[in-house]
Amino acid sequence: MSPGSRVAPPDRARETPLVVDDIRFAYGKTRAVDGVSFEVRAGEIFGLLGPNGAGKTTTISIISGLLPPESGQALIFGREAGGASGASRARMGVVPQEIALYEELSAIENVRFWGRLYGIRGAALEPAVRLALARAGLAERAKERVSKLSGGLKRRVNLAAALVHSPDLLLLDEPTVGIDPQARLHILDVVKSQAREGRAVLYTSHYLEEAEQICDRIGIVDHGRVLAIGTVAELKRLAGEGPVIHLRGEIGVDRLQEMAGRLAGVSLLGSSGGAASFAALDAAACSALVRDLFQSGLRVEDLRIQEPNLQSLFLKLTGRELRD
Amino acid sequence: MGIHELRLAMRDPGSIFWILVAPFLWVFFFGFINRPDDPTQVRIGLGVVNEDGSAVAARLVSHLRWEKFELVVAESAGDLPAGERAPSRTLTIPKGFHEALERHEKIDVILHEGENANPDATFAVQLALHRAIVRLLADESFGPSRPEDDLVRVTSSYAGRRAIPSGNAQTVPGNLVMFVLLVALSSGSAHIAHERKSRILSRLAASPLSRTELILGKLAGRVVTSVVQVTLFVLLGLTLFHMDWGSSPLGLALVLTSLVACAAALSLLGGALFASPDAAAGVGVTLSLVMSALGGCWWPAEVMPPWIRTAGHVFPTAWAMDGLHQIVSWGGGLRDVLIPSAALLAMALAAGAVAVRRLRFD
Amino acid sequence: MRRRVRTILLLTLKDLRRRLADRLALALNLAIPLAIAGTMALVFGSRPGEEPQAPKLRLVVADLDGTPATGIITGASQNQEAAKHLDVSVAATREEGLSHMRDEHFAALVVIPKGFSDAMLSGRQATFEVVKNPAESVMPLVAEQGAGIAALYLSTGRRLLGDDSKTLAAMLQGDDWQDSAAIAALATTMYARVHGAGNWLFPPIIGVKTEQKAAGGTNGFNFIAWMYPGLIVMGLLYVALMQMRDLLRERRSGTLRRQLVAPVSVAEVLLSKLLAVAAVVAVSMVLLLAAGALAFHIDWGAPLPLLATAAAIVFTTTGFAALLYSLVTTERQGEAFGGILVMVMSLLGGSFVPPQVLPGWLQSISRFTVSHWAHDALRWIVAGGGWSDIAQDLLVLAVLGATFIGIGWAGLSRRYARGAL
Repeated sequence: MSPGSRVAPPDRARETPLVVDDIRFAYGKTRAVDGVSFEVRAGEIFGLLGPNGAGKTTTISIISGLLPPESGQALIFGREAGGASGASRARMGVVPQEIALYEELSAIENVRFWGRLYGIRGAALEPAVRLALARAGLAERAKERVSKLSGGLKRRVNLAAALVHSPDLLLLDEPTVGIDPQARLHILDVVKSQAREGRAVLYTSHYLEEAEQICDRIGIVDHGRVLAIGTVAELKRLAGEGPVIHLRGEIGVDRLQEMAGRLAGVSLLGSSGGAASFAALDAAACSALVRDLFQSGLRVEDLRIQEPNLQSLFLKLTGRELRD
Repeated sequence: MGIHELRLAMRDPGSIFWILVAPFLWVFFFGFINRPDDPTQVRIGLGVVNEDGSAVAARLVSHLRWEKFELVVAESAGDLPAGERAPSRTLTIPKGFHEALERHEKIDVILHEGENANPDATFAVQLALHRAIVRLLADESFGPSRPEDDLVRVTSSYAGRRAIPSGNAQTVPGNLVMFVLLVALSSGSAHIAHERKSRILSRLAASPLSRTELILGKLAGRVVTSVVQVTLFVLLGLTLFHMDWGSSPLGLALVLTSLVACAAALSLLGGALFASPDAAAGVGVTLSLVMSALGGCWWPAEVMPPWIRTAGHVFPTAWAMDGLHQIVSWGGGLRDVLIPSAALLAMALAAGAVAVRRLRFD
Repeated sequence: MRRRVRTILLLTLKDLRRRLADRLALALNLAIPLAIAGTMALVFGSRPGEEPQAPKLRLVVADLDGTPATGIITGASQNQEAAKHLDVSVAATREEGLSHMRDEHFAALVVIPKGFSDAMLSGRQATFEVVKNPAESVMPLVAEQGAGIAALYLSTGRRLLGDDSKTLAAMLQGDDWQDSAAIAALATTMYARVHGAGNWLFPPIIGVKTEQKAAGGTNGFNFIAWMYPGLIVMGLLYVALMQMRDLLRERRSGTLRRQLVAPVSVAEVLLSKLLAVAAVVAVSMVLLLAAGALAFHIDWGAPLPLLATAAAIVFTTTGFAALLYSLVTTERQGEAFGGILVMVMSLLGGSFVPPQVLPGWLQSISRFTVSHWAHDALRWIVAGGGWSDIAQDLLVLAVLGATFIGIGWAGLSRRYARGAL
């Protein structure tokens, strides 16, 4: 599965919750988004996975209408995201990366406000508010001021505020940053339940474990470009059948390149500061490499063999670790 | 830590404004407005409406000229210049003035102060009128005389170092004291509250520094900032406002050091007492303005009722002004500022003691 | 349209609810002008109709002459009437007097030299000395002026006594003081002189009646009524800036972006911000006006002109805050630049010194400030002025407010279009 323009035909665009078509944006001389295209279908969780600075938040900002793209377009149920009409935005819920809540107000006051802002009125408001809080596991802490809540609970209120109006499209920008594993699990469960209920979910993260755990499809981004799109299984195949070998020691780059050139089925993915990574086509190539290393007399301090995963795919595509 | 605090302050446009800009704007403005004029050359404008037209009324006008009024005389109010050239004050000598005098009946002349009249000159005008009237009545009784013939004379001079103290002798020290306290109690306290709220203080507490070292470091920060302020005031006072800071650098240094110590301690106290930086800043601004007003920074202390002047000494501002006046106005030395400095240091100790007990790092 | 109105109302009420959740901050906003006014009332205040209480003149007198004549003079300064205005202390020597003046904060030292009364009564020039306290600014000059008046009275008194003064001088120096017949004769002559000319000299038969066009609509200067409007204007400018700072706070916290992502327009968000700021400024205005009436007994005149003036001031100060925050990018910049602008406008606009004290060129510049027109309108209101007096002020304030809001709105909208809001 290769990245590229995947614009849906006009009729399908109206049905597809989110279609992003070749959007570009630069902050001054820095190109933040450089031709990003993907679509998110109803009932699926699409992950945008990449390191910090890859362009994920900028992409979300364009989709939510905050930034006008220099070129390309983002369509929400067939309508331009940045359109003057709020109709497209009314069907969208956004969970921003920062905890965008009013600290002086309580959790329920926050959710109630956002519910009203998204057009829920009258008798429908309170049940919607309580349902959103219940989904976020906040029923018992609803009346507490946000300023008094822990980081994890604040993130849950952040989520509830985006769910209160039952959006058809949910955008979550790194919603689990800086919270404990239990709170993270809870949020992930809520996200999965949203997709099960038929919502389209765009989920950005730099945690590949999260992406592997909940996403139906993933787009790997770096430097503003989508490098690969596919299901987890497809991407892992893209990563190759063979493992990735990580080592650390007193190893010169020249020797490594010579080794990779000599051994069949072995390629050098990258090296820096005494650490290097090789991709092996299969188990045999991996064994040959390991044998050569130990026979070479090089001082190897650490050696790790990793089965193909998204981390190794990222490494293969960019030459860097996802956490670099 | 002290230098670090100063660096942080210099990165903050608000602090830069209140430390470097506002005080000198204030002093320049009030120094400009209140610049002392040569009293022998000041002439106050007065319109005179001589409705009476008699010779004795004319003699009163002559005496007014001797009192150095810049007179415009007319027979009716309508004849006086109007618009921008209208005199801000007019004196009406009413019809029947000379007849009342001949009958030895009381008669009033009417002084009308227009809305544009400078209220600072009101008292001087009233005294000058009184002198002119007494001279007129004396001349009517005993024959004409001239001011140079007066038998009893007054010589006046100032005690202290200078022949004529400048207005800056009140303005510059007053603003120095006010702004040192204002910055310490507002942004200084708010900064500490902010550091606690953002967990920087707890991070510092988790470092190898002891609690004592941390507190001294915070105090050092406030002291360094205040020293910069005071130094700028002294230097710019010397160069821009031609301030004479007295003949006792040691005495001046003692007073200013004591003030800085007190301000630093109060800043720490504010940061300890308030959880919210906004609350710390708001209370700090309010308190420092009230203390400045009641301590004699805004106006000469002698215009306040005596009980306020006394009660104002619960504030450090009054002691600081006392000490600075001893040095600047009286030309005093180290011994003359021992008491005000001791009072300031005592307040610093008291505030510091409470602050140390109340300061939480988390 | 109804939806828009509902949305604007929702956003505005949300901001007001947030303000109420932090009442301390709101109270502190208002505390500053109230604290300044309260302090000034404490120091200078008097009720309307009452004469302002001038501070007593504190003098040290060193009578080195020590004659009954100078004793009369120093004694006169301590009688009941004089004691209302004078606080006189006696020193034995000039040095003791100087020390007294310095330590006890007396305004001036009056030194009557040895031989003073003899010289005066003998028709020779007699001089006494006033040494002023250099640490005081006002009362020493009052003492100097008062001494000048006293010298004039003494000279006049000497003229009144005429040749009898020489007789009196001789009596004071010699033994004739014991001769009751001589005393009686002198007393008779002096009485006749004093009764003649002295009747219209002591006190002067010509009085001075002062009429002032002053704030408060009364004859008599009400300091607080003059100063307080300026403090209100300055206070409201600061309140408006503090409230408008919330725009950047919301930007920093992310809630502004979140609102802009919701189905609301940027116009609705901006308008609600302006309305929330204006509401808080309006409440502050009401509280400050009420404090002026209740605590400082200021008469705010007819309600309709006051309402119009208050509305104009609220409009303009809100617009000023909107303009400023459309130009700055951080809260700290807003505080710094806002502080500078409010301080300069308050200094020039008459919040701290009467505008007429300023040089002409500064008075011209002050006409470009919000403070000048707002202060002028309020002072007219206090002076009992009507619509014709405040019309120009209201018009200028309205134009200024509309201009500020227009420019601020355009700036913020442009920022939104760039994605930088």
